[in-house]
Amino acid sequence: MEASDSEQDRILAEAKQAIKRAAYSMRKAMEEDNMREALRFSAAMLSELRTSQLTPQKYYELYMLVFDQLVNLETFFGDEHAKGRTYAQLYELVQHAGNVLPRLYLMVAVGCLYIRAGEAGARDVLADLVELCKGVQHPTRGLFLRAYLSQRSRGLLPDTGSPYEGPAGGNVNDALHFLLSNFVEMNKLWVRMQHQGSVRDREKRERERGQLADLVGKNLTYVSQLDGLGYELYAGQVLPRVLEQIITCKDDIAQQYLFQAVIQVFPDAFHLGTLSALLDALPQLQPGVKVHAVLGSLMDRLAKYAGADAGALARLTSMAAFDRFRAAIAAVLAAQPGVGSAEGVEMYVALMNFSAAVHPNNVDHVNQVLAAAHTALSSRGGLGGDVRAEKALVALLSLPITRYDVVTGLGLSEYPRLMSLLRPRTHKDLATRIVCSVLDSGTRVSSVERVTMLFKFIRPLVHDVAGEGERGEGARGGEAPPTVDDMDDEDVASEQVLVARLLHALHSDDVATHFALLDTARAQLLLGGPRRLRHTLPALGWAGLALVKRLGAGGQGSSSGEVTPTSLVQWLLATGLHLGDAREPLSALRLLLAVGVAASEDAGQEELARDAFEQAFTLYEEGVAEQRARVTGLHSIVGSLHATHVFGPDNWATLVHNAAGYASRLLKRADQVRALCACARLSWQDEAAGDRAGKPGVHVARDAEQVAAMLQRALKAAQAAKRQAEAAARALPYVPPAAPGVPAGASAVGASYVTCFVEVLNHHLTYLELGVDTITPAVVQGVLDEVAGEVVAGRKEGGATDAEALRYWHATLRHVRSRARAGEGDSAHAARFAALQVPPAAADLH
Amino acid sequence: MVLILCIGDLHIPHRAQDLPTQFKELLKPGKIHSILCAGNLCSKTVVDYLRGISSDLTIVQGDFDEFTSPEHAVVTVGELKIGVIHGHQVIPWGSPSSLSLLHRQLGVDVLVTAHSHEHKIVKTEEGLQITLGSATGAPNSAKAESTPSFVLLDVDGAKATVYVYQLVDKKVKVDRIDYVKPAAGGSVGAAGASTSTPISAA
Repeated sequence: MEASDSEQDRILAEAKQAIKRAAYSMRKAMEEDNMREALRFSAAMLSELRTSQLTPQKYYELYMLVFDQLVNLETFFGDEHAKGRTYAQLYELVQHAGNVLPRLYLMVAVGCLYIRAGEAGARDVLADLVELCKGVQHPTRGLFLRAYLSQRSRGLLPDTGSPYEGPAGGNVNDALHFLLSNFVEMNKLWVRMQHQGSVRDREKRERERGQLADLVGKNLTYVSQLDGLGYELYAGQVLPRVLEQIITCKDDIAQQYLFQAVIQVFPDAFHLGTLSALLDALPQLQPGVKVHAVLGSLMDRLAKYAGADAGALARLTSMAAFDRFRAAIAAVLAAQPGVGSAEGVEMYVALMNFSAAVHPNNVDHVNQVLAAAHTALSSRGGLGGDVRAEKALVALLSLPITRYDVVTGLGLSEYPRLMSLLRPRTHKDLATRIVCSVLDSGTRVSSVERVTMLFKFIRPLVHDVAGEGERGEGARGGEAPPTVDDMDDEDVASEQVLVARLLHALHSDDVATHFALLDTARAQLLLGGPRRLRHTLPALGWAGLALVKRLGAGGQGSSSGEVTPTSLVQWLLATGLHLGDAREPLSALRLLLAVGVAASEDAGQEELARDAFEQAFTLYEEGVAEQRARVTGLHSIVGSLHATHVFGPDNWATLVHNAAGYASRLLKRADQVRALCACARLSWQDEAAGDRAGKPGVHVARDAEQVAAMLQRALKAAQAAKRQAEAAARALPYVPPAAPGVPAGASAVGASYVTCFVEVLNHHLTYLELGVDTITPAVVQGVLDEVAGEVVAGRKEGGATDAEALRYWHATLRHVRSRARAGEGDSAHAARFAALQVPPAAADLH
Repeated sequence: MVLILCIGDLHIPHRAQDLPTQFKELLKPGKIHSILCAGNLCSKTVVDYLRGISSDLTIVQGDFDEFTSPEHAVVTVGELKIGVIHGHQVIPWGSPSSLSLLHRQLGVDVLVTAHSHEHKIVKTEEGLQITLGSATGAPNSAKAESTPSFVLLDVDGAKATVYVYQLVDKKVKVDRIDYVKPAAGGSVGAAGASTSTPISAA
C-alpha cells in the first residue's frame, strides 16, 4: 500500500540512507576481498527495493541508486573471476541470498557476466532468468527487476551474427523468445497495476502507469534492434504474439501505448506487409482506446515513408492502402460508437494527409475522403454543436485549399456539402479563407464549371439562403443563421470587397468563355441583395468593360463566338441598371457612364450609348443629392461625354444641353463656373483616337458658336458670384476687419469670385490657343480687361482679391506673355497672344 | 532627403485585385516619409493599407472613390510646393493645356495628377507635371489594362528627383528624372538614367 506524499518522502529518504550505508559496507567488504560480506551487504542494499510504499517515480530513484552500486559489484565479480573463481560458482553462490528480490537481482548480475565470459550459453541462462523473475509478482518491483534484466542482457542475446549465437547460445529465435517472454510478463504486471488500490485513486494510478510505459515498451525496441529480425520472422512470430498480448490484455492504457509503440519502433517496410493485421486488430481494441490517434500515426508514418521511397509508394498504391484505410476508419466508427465526432474527423484529416502523400494528384481520393467524412457525420446527425468536431472539420476542409491549387480544389464536388455542416459563422469564415487563398495564390478560374463550383464554395459570402435556419444542418448548434440584414455596413463592405477582388481572378483567354464566366458570376451575385451588390457589381462591370476593350482590340465589330461588343455592352448596361436598383446611384452612374463610352467607342452603337447616358442622367437627377457628389458626378458626366464620338448632332445637342443645365444648377458659383467651362469643351472635341479619325459614324463636335456661348455663361456665373458676395457683404451692417487670409468675397470653398473670373479668362486663353474662331483676340481682350478690372477693384474694396487670386492672376499674365514670345513654330498662334494688351509687368507685381 | 510616394488609381476592388506583389515588396513600412495619393483607391480598406506604409498620408478625391476627400491638396516640401489633384476634372482627360491651366490655378511647382492610367512626366513653363499611372495596372475607358506604376519623389531643397517605378514583364523597372525649381527664370535639370534607387526589395 502506498503512503501519503510526505510519508513517501520520509520513506524514500530513509531508504536512500539505508542503501548508502549498505553500499558503503559492501564496498568496504569488497576492498577487503570479503565475498561473503560483500554479498551480505549487497543483499541488504537490494532489500530496500522490496518496499511497496513508494510511487513508481520515487521507486525509480531508489532503483537508480542501487543500479549504480550494482555496477561496482559486477566489477568486483569480474575481479574475483580473474582470480580464478568461476561464474558457475558465483551463480551458485548468489542464490543463497535469503530474499527473492535481492537474489534475483544478484542472479541477473552474475548471469549476464556468465554469458559474457562465454562460460554458459545465452539461451539457457536467459531462459532461466526470465522464468525465475516470475517469482516477483508485485507490479512495481517486478517491472523494475525485469527492466534490469533486459537492460543487463542487452548485447548478450544470441542474435544473428552475435558472438553469443551458436549451438549452445541459441539463435535469434531464442533471443526473440527471451525478449517477448519478458515483454509479455512485464505487460501483465503493468496491466495488473490498474487493479490495485481503490477506485478513488484511479486517475493517479493511470498517471503513474503512464510513467512506467517505457519500461514495457523498451522490450519492443530491443526486438526491433535485433539484426536477425527479418520481415518473415516479424510477420510470422513477433507481430502475432505482440498483437495477441495487446488485444487480450484488454487494458486501455496498454493497448493505446503498445499499439503506438509497434507503429513507431518497427520499420515502415514491415508495416506495409502487415497492414491488414494491424487494421484488423484496431476494431478489437477497448472502447476507451484513442483508435483515431493510432490509425492517424499509422497513416502519417506511411505517408512519410511513401514520400521518401518511390518503391513504397508503388506498393501502397498497388495494395490499395487508401481504400483499406478508408474502410478501416469506417469500421472503427461503426464498431466504436463512443468515438467522438472530433476524433472521427481527425482520422479523415490523417487519411487526407495520407492521400496527399501517396496520391498527390488524385483529387478523386480527396473527394472520397470528404464524402466519407460527410457520411460519418451525417449518420451522427451533423456536428451537433460539438465545437471540437467543428474545429477538426475546419482543419479537414482547409487541407485541400492549402494543398491543392484552388482550381484543382474546385473539382471537389463533395466539398460544399461537407462545408454546409459547419455553423453559419464558421462556414463563412472558411469561405473567406477560400477567397483569400485564391487571391494570394494568384490563381485564375477559367471555366464555367469551376466558377459555379467556386460560388458554391463561398456561398455564405455571396447570398443568404431562404429558410436557412429551419433547414440548415449546421443550425442545430442553436445559433441563428445570420443574414446580411444582421450585419453592419462595415462588415458587409469588408466581406464584399473580397468577393469583388475575387471577380478579377475569373479569366479566360477566350473572350466568349470569359464572358460566360462573368455571366455565371452575375447570376450568383444577383441573389445577394442590394447591400452586397453595391460592392460587387462595379467590379463585375469593370471586368466586363475590360473585356469589351479586349474584343475591340481585334478591330471594330470583331466578335468571339456569340459575343460581340454590342452584346457585351447590352449586358453591361443591364449590370449598371442592377447597380442602380441596389440604391447606389453614384456608383451606378459611374459604371453607366463608362458603359456609355464603351457603347460609343468600342461598339459604335449610338442608341445603346444614348441609353446608357440617359440612364446615368436619370440617376444623377434623382439619386445624387449631396453637393460634393453632384460636383464629382457632373465632372464624370462631362469627361465621359467628351470621350464619345458616336453621337449625331441631335443627340449630342440634347446631352450637352442636359449637362450644361446640371452645371448651372450646382449650388456654389465657383463650381458652376468650373463646370460650365468644362461643358464648353463638349463643343470642341479632339479627334477620335487612332485609326477611327474621319471614319463614317465618328462624330467630332466642333461648334465655335456653342463654345463662345458656354464661356459666356461661365462668365455670367462669375459675375453672379460677385453679386452674391457683395449682397452678402451688404447684409452685414458692420464688417469687421477681414482676418488675414480670409477675404470678404471668398466663397465657402475658399475661392473668391475673383478666382472665378481668372479661371474663365484662362479657359478663353485655351480656345485662343486652339484657334477657335469665335474666341478672337478681341473677345479675349474684353474678358481680360473685365477680369483685370475685377482684380484691381477687388484689391481696393476690402480684399475680394485674395493672395490666391492675385497669384493666379499673375501666373495667367505670365502665361500670356510667354505664349506671345514662344510661338516661333506657330506664328498664327503666337500672333493671337501677341495681340493681347496685357497690363505692364510692373503692375502685376503689386 | 525626404522620400514621398506618389500613387493613384489603384481601383481596388473594382478594377484590380490588389497591388502587384513586386510593389508590395518595395513599399514596406518605414521607407516612405509621406504619401501623396491622387485618388481612386477606391475602397476604404486601401486607405488603411497606405496608412500602414506611412502615416503621413494626403489623399484627394477620385471620381470613383467610395469615400470623401478634399478636391485637391497642396503640400510644401523643402522649397517645393506640390499640388495633387486626381485629374478627372480636367476636360479633355489628360489634355496638356488643361493640365497647365490647373497648374497655374494651383500655383505650385510640381503638379501631381493621375486618371489617364499612363505615367507621364513633363516640364512646362508652369513647372514639373507628373501624371501617375495606375498603381495596379487597372483598365480605364480607353484600355483593357495598363502598365502598373508609381512615383517616388526625393526632395532636397529646390531639387526633386523623380523615380518612376514600373512593372514591365513582371519586373520592376525604375526611371529617374531630375528637376530643379528654376530660381527666377533658371532652367530645369536634365533627365538621366537611373544608377541607384531609393528603395528596393532587398
